[in-house]
Amino acid sequence: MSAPAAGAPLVELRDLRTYFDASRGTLQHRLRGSRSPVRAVDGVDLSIGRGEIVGLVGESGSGKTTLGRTVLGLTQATSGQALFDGTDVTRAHRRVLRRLRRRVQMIFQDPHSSLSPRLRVSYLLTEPYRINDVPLSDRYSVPELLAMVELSPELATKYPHELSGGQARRIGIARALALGPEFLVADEPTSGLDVSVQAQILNLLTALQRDFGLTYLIITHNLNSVGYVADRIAVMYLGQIVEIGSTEQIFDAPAHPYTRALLAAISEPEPRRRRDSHRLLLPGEIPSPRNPPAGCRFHTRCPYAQARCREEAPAQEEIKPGHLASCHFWRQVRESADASAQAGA
Amino acid sequence: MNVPLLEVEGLEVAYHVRSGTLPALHDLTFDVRPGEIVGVVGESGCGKSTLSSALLRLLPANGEITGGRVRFKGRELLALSAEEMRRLRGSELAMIFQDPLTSLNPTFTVGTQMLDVQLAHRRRGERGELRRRAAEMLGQVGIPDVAERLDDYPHQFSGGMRQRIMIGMALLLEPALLIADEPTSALDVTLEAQILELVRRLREEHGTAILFISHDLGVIAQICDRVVVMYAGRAVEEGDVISIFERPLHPYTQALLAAIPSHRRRGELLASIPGRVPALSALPAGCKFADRCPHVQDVCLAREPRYAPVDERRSRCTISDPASGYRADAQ
Repeated sequence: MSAPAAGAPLVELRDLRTYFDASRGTLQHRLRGSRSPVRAVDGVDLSIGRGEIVGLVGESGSGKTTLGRTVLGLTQATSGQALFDGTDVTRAHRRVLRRLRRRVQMIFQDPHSSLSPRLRVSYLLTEPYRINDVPLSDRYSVPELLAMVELSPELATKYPHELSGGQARRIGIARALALGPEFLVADEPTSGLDVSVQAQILNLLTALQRDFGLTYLIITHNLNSVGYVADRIAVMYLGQIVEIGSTEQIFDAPAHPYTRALLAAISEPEPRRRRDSHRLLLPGEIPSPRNPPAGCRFHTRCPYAQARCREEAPAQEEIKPGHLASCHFWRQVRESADASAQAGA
Repeated sequence: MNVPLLEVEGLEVAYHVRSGTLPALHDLTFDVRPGEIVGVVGESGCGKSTLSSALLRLLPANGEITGGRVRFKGRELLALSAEEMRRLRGSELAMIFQDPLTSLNPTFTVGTQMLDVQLAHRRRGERGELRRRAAEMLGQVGIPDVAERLDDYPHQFSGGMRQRIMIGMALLLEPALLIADEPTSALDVTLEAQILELVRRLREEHGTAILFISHDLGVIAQICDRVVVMYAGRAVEEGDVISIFERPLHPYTQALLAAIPSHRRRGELLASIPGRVPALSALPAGCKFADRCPHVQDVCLAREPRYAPVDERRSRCTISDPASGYRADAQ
């Protein structure tokens, strides 16, 4: 589902699908017989404007990381299009893709597993230049890269294990910035960090976005941090975007019951506003993306589900300009949620 | 109700390393009353996990309790023999961890393990009776189709289910105190909310007291009655949950709360704490937070503040200590 973004979109996904086919895997998998593929991304439309920060949220297993990797061409799409500045990443020739890779980069989730433990920081930071044969005149120096992420130049001689969690994240960010990209996909940029370090990284990401005019897709299950940085938020469930809107629309007037449940599950640091049992507590866990439920995929956990939800997949509806959701009964859901909120107040 | 279940007084723990001795916990004092949920919050390296291991006397080989007292139901834990301690663990004092696979044996079925827990603590009863108790407990923690799943192995359950099984196993012998070390940190918000709800319900139904260790202030705010904030191996502030979150006394607590992102703070710069947590091998002489504190005074660098009572609370800050004469400056 695409929402209007300012100007021509930098990134545009059209009915993008990424399936992992178990029957093409190891011998063991093949002997087990052909199983249905894992539909990690299953029909996503999304457009991201230049300079925009879009947050992609959902539980583990919703397909958010696969979507991010597919957008960058790191994972092969099964069908659909992923256009970056007009070029379809899913069909581009390797040479084209390679040139494109300088303009799109990923900040990986776990910096310690993406930084080789045997290489010094200075080598790690300049690695992207060697891989891409960037002429010396086009390179940032190591101190410049370190300064971009607010690290002292002395760190250049350190090894990854000598870095703190926050420093390692910054090195990961500096590596992604080395080639001067326009678009960054950040996968859980603050997971596992202490709250004070998390604040530093979020401040850094927003400062870089401002200074370099970057465009971000931030993938996270942390709604508090994505609400702080993102302009728009897309909510993903079992391979599909079920709701998208501005951060205000999503937080203040969510339409999809899944979005409501996610928001209700945030542990707010406010002891007077404790979640009580009456508030929407999402039961169970996300079903397998191998056999997603028929009809609306969320119906197995949805407190508002009715017969129609089990049979017919909901189409996306416009709730307000730029705010779209896929739920047959979003009006009723909103009314009943508002009514119970008033009763509780 | 007001007789403490667990009393920790001036606890000191050190790790012996090649280069010397690292003071992991210093002058740690707090208590947990029956049925109470007490949160211990702090960032990596503040000593939260050392605390849980020390309470169960399960410190690694190079760790040593070098001072202080720990009383559980009036008994001095540090004086118990290894055998007495073993009997206490699991029956009266139980623990749950972030990763349930560390406390579930992958080679035995869940039912067998839950039977073993009861047999190890000499619970009498027919095997059928013990099995029924196990099934009943799994039902209480929200495992569906318990009767069939008792003979499943841990890997056959999802992450959220394993977390529930671990909690069920810990509660099987109805411990008076449950120590929960980051039990929801690896879970999605939706599962986290389910587990917190479960913990809260178990406290209501069984009256289990819980020492809830977490780095997540949101989770602490949701579930705890009282909170201890730790920094560099020390308790720096203690109080009821409302006061801690609404009127924090210690500058470290204030800084932690200001650093939490939220959609309501969009466009603002998040307050981050300058500098880093000091290394245990190079702790500064005075207040351990002084070099990162926006209110630092000369006196803070010179001497370590006492853990001073302030109304019904405590704070380790010279400036918030009413007896120090600095309090006016802080307001």
